[in-house]
Amino acid sequence: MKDLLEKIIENAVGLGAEYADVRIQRIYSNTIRIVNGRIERTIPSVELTASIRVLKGVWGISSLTSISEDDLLGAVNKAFKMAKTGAERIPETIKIKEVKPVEDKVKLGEIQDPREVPIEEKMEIILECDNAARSVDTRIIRTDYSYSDNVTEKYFCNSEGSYIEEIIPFTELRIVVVAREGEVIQQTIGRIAASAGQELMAYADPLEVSERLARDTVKLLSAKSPSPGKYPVVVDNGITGLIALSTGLMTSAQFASMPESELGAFAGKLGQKVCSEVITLTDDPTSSGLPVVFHYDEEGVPARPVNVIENGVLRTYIHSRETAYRFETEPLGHSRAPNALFQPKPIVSNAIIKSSDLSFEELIENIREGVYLRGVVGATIGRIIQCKTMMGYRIVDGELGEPLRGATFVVDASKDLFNIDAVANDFDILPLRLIEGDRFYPVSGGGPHIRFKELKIGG
Amino acid sequence: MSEEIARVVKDLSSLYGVNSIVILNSEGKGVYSWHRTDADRRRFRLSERTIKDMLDRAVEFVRLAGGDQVRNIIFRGRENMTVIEHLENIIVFAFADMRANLALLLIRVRRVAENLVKMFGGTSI
Repeated sequence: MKDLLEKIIENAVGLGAEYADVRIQRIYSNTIRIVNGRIERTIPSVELTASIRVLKGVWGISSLTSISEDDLLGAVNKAFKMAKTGAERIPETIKIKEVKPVEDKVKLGEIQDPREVPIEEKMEIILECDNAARSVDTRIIRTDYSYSDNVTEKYFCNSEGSYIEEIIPFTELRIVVVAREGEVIQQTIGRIAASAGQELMAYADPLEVSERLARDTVKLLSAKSPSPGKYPVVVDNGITGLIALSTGLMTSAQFASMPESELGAFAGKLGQKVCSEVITLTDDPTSSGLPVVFHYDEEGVPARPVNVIENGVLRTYIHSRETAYRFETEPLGHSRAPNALFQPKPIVSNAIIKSSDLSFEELIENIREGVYLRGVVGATIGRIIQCKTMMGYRIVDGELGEPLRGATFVVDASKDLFNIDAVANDFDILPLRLIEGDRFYPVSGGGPHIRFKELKIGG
Repeated sequence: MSEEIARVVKDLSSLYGVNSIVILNSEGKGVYSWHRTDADRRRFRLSERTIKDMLDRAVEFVRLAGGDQVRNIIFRGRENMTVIEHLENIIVFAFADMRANLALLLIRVRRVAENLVKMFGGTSI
């Protein structure tokens, strides 16, 4: 592969490119969907994507789904022509921040490679989980399991002498449980995901998760809806994760360059307070066990965790090489793309809010009348986060009270993020998908339980 | 009784990579064992007492750490893995090589334990 990619790059440079890179990705994936114990579909697939990017004043880009030498050489010509034509019409020239060339091969770690596990074994695990959930109570009327795993082989080569190969695994299980009693219907959702192999299905204990979700769903049938109003509110790690992710997305230099966009709230706010001082937010694509893990980003830059917000102050944006040049800073390996057809852009990977040393009990001990919210059923994110939670509990005189059905709440980033007055000492993550067209970026948000001094919730 | 247990254990012994299975009662008395080959039987030098001791130590270890009941113990080496599952009056021990699907191994070990508990009820075996 290296010889082929170097030849393609030499060709681009020979045509007169100031810079060129080529990315190839081969994604081996399996998806399984099981509804009410019936296998709805199993889809194994192999996806091959490639793209060539040429800089000649502006970018010229050509994407393809073949890696034959002829096709790649043809794509180089197209990309170069596109850049040349663009440069004649666009007065502004693009520059990219210099980075040291790297040669590296990152192999799969000590994981159980999902490509080597028969699909029957994967189905048996999910069927067993499905059966466990439905066996909890006869009021469980629907179970829906969506499983997917993939292994992505990435190849990157550029005109500065970098050549990188990296293999990245990902496994995910999404569980929906619905219970009904008379006219009352309740639903819970569970998600397990990590940059891991089939061993995730052992260590994340999907059987236990399934049974717990089923028990929670049944419990909700007799729970009351919370009374709408303003309360001190404690949210669990999943909801914290949603808030972390939404906030993290706004630290992308790309969105910060578009102040009018839904995610452009942090435009021009470097060095300013953007949320409560109890919040320190890190974008970390490197820690094992998280849903998104890579050693090198889509521009071949070594990935590093970055504290984007420290004690409430926006310290930096996350950058591509192009935005790093524009903002006169370093790109720290946060350029991402759903696959090699898409161009890299700075997107958050795992947005993590730092824990403190407060226990959950300490978080709620001084709340006389409040609400504890758990789980995310659905949400929209941006300057305004709207979230439908899975369930909750009343907090009465510093202790958890009766269970409550899911509530809705709205967090206005410009106001409510300043109302967070405490974070706990625990940690968990919420794996999510950031949809772009018909593709998605795996992303996650995580952190401890957090407390809002006051938040308006709906029933 | 041995044949009945063998029928239940077949679900686990048929899993690719599983080489040895031992069933104990909660006092640590062995009631059944299975090895894939004679070579596996010869290699296997673990006594029933040692399996029970390991479970007891894990229970104490987790208790001292502030945890609750131990449902299972997993040991992973470079080439093999071991699972001990305790359910009511049944202890299931399985030894497998790394080719076995750990998630499925845990599920089938648990299923065997549940089926044996069902089979013997609360009676000692």
